Order: sequence, then structure tokens, then C-alpha cells
Amino acid sequence: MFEDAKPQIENIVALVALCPDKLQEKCFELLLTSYLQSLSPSRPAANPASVTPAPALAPHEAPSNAGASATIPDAIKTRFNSLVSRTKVNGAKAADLFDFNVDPFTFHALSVPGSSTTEKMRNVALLLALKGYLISASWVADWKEFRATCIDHSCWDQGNVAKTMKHKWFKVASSATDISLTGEGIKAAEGCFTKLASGPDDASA
Amino acid sequence: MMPTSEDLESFHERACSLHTQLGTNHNFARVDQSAALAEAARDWLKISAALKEAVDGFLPALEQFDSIMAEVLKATKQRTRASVFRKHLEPFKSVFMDSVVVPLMRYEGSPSQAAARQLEGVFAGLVSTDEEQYISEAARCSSVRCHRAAIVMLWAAAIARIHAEIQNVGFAAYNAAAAASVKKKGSPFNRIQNSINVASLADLQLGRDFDLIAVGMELWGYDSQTFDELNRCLNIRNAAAHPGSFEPTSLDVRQFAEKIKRFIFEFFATKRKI
Repeated sequence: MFEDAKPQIENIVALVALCPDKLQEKCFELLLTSYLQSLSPSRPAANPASVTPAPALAPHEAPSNAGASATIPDAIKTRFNSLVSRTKVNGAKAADLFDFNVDPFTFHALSVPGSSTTEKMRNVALLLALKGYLISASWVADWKEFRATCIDHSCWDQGNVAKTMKHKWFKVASSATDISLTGEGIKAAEGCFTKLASGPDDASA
Repeated sequence: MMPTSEDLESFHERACSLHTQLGTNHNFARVDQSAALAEAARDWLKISAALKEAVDGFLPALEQFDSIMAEVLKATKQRTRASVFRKHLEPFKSVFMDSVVVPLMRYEGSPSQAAARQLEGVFAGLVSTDEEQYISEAARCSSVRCHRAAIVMLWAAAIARIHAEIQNVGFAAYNAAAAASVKKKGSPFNRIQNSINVASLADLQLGRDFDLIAVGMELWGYDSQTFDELNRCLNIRNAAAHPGSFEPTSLDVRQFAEKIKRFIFEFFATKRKI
């Protein structure tokens, strides 16, 4: 935790030595406090106007937009943070994929990845199941929400939907059973999420 | 009951099939064709009325199809040429899907409607017909963002189950458990009131929910942590039912539902299996 502290403290001591004797103790205290605060991940980010604290993120992450991720509802924060930590994506960018200001929260201006209707349909199902995981800890997507999202993204193919959804990613996928992911499907959903959270140009339209 | 997009899709197919069956000639429509068209027109007017009631005017195109079907119904009362019916049904073939079915699909697939369906799904296979009505009402409330009302309805389902379970074990057993609970010292037992001498469902309904869940520790043997969880749910319910600043979201409703599922419905389901 304090691997880099030694040279910093040496610098502080050097600076303190420049001060009058009476002020050296206070000066040391101020400089040390300032140094320790600079190590804290919840310091204000680039946007000084943002006063909301960043949520707990994985240790490797440096939040680039604390304001956006701070709105993550408490009910999903644990699962969101564990997803972010598993997929090793930037927490703030991941949070920006969602609109947490609407109730219930949903994806924000999402551009579904995929080069064909089939691919897009499957990715819609994966992303909705990922949202389902955040809400209820089960990788399940609502069939009607899936259909409506596909319609919105112009990738709904009524004639081929049954064939498209017969895939190793889905345990079941029909209007009667909703959509439930397999282990491979969960990996694919996390991959899709990583792709969206990593590529700024792909994430929002 | 609100017609679904599946109902509308099948009506669309039916209208298209009637249109095709009318053929391409200019003869008068046969009696059986007129009868089938009249039946379809009546069905449409029923579907449309139910839709208007449920979707609160977000499907303005319905009016156009209502007028068409009213014309069709009127035309079936007299000899009418097949071509006239075909002309009437043409909009069903060409624009019905895009102007009615697809908007309804979008409505059904909206996150709030999905959340409401998932709320009902939480209790699938765990609730009785009576309790299901409260759950459905809660889901409907939640779908229109009346989350406080949804919480009140979910709690009503939970209390309905507790009442049913008390009737199951008998009022004598409940009264005995209540008497034993009152004798115990400390919280929450010292807060139990009016729980003794319950002789009917009406007596139970007049009692306090707090007493029911406190006596439940003695009656069904759940621990104080379960009681605490249930008491927290009761406090949330009370906050939702009384004026104040409590503004739950759909996620709060979902969490509340998960808790009463676990501590009420699953608890009693497990107890029965044992």
C-alpha cells in the first residue's frame, strides 16, 4: 500500500526543513495529509463541480467520471461492482451504459453490436439478461422486452427468432419461458458488456 | 383482461385471411362470409374497448379501426359486395401491424411492464388464487410507477398467507401461542396486544400485523432474525401506506417482494414439505 511512500516522505521532510522551526510540525502534518488524500480513489475527478462520491470500484480502476457512476442504485451496486471487477472495465464507463435516472433503470442510447440481424438479436438477449442479473442476480431476460428492444434496433426477425435463439448461449428462449443464459451465455454477455464499456464509439449512438 | 400483442397478431391474421377468402370478384359476399365478418367486427370492438381501457389512449390508431369495423358490421346487415368488404379490410392488411401491433409490442416490452411481469414471476407457484390477486394488483401498480401502492399490495398478500396459515393450524393453537408469547419478557413480546381469543378470520383481520408476526415466532418457530426482517417489511409497508417522504423505486419493490417471498411464502412452503 505504501510502496511509493518513502520517496514522497523524504520530499516532505526536505520541504519541512525549509520552514521556520515553530511551523515545521504543522507543515509536516499538512503536507502528509495532502499526500495521503492524493492516494484516495474518491478524490474529486476531472470535473470539480461533481460533489457526489464515486462508488466502490475495483482497485485497478481509476474512476474517470465519478458523477455518472455515483447514481448507481444501492440495490444493484454490489452486483454492478462485481461485474465491473470481473470484466476489468472502467466503472464510470460501464455505468454510463445505463440510465439510472429512469425508473426502472435501463440501457442508455445503446447501439447493439453485431453485423447481422441474427448476431444483433442474440446480443440484445445477452445484454437484457445482463440487466436482469443486475436487478435480480439471475441471468434472465424478459421475452417481450427482448422483442421490443429488437424492434427498436431494427433487428427483429419473427420468422427466424426461434432458430436464432437455439444457441449454446441460451438454456431456454421462448415467449413462454423467457430467456435464460447458459454458462457460455453468461461469458458471452460479459464479453459484450466489456466490448461496449471499452469502446467509447460503440457504446452510445 | 387486457388483450396482448399475441391476441392482436392473431386478429391480424384472421382479418388478412378473411380478406383473402373474399376473393377478387365483385359478387355479393356469401352468408357465411358475412357471418364471419360480423363476428370478427364484434370481436374487434371488444378487443379495442379493452385496449383503450388498459393502455390509456396511447394507441390513437384504434379509432380508425373501430370506424372500419363498425362499417363492416353495418354492411353485414344487408347484402354487400365482397369488394366493399375487401376495401374496408384493406387497412387491416396494410397498416394494422405497424400502427397497432408494433406499438403494443413496444409497450409490452417497456422496462416498467417487464419489471411488473418479473414481479409476478417472483411468486410463481408459491401463491394461492386469492394471494395471486394481490400480487397481480401489486404488479399493475408497479407497472404504472405506483410503487407505494405496490408495496401495500405485496404486504396484503403476505398477511393473507399468514391468515390462511393461522386458519390452517386453528385459532386455538394461535391463541395458545399468543398467550405464551405475551408471557415472555422483553421486545418484541412486550409489544403484543389484543392477540388472544381470536375466534374468526374477522378477528384476525381486526388485529395488528405486528402481533401476527411476533406470535409467529412461537407458533411456527421462526427465529428473531426472521421476525426482524418481517418487522422491517412491515415498517416499509407502513411508510408506503402513510403520508411521508418515502419514495420507493421499482428496485425497492422488487427487494421487498424478494423478502416476503423468502420469509413468508417460501418459509411456509418449506414447512409444509417437512
